[in-house]
Amino acid sequence: MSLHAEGPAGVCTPHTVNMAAPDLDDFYRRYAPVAYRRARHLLGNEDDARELVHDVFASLLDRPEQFRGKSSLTTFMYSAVTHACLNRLRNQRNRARLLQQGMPEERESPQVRSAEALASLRSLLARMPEDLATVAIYYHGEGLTHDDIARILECSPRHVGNLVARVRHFIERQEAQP
Amino acid sequence: MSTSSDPGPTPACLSALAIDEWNAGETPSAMRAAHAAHIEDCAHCAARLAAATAEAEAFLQDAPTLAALREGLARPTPRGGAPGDHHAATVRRLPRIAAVTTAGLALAAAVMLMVRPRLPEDGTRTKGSARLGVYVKRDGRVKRAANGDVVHPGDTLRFTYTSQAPRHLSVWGDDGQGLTRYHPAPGAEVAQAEPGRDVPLDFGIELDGALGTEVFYGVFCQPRVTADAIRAALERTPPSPPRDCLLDVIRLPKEPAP
Ligand SMILES: [Zn+2]
Repeated sequence: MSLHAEGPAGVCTPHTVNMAAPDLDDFYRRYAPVAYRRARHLLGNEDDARELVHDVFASLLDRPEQFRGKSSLTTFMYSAVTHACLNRLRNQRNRARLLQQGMPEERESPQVRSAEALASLRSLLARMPEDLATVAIYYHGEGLTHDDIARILECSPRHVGNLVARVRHFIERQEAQP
Repeated sequence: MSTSSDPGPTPACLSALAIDEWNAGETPSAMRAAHAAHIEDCAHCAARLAAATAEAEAFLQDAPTLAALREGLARPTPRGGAPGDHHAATVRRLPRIAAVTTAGLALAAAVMLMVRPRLPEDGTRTKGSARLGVYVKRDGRVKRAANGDVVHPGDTLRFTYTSQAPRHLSVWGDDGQGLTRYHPAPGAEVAQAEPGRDVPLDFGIELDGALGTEVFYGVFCQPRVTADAIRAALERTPPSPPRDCLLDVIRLPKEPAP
């Protein structure tokens, strides 16, 4: 199974590069710190982030075939963590609690997002269609460029531009509601 | 690694993804030169790279393996603390020689390759098809050093490798206080070394004032040899290459400047 399969399938076509499944210990040391930083940022607290990182890597251990066909392990991990974060935000049991979390101070992105803006983004994510929520995380939550997002989703930057526009419309519609 | 002089971001700054790919050695080749040039010039991005490295180190110190992470989840440890707390711990752990990563790579590589002399042929440290090279920058001049050459506090060391086959390369240092891995950067487990002669590595080391012999190990391995296995092999007396690895050793006695 591909993690991209649950994204906007049919539009984003993963290109295939033969990459062997890496040794999981190596892989963990190389990519878990980034996964943790992103999960902490997106979920807003350290304990949930650790749990999520654990779950993502445990899943890779169970199903190493997920690596196959990935051209870059960093973008693959971005995709896996984003997908897991979205699932968590959409999970009713976690949702109420996570939505109340303040964001830790963001120092990574050049387009700094305030904690308040991210907290309200998080509440929107739970209501957005998945393909839009994914793009909203990268664009509004992390300040990635269209080209970055295109590489993660394996889409054209133009398609990302369309998705960003749809996210904007979604947010405007939500704000217009009484 | 203070960020107090960080001038803040510009529109040309690297995205978070670009920073992470850079640290993982996965920057797409089309972007590599532009990113290297930007990092060289931008204190903000250099600080972000350093912060990402320090944060990765702190995370791995706390949860070095998936099993350790799982164990940590099972026990309710008070974790609190701002990310900055980890950073302070990392600064304390710094070895007495400070690694200067990435910035200045392109320039240093160009300067060093201009002065590239014949490779030393001392059979004591040449191990078949792979070896480490070291250049010393002193008083603005760069020269190649050989095993046993005397270095001084304040010298800056840059490294190259020569390998006839693709291998994973890690570079370690032992300053008498313990092993430090300089390459690949913390958070990255492996670094692929493509076949090449005197290929510059993306870090430099500025020697501090403590005297003694600085020992550097270049470990050229087949894939799947873990950093832990390499560390264990280097901690043996005498240090030996792990299975499926070639080891090259450079010893540089550090003496006071004349
Ligand atoms: Zn910058």
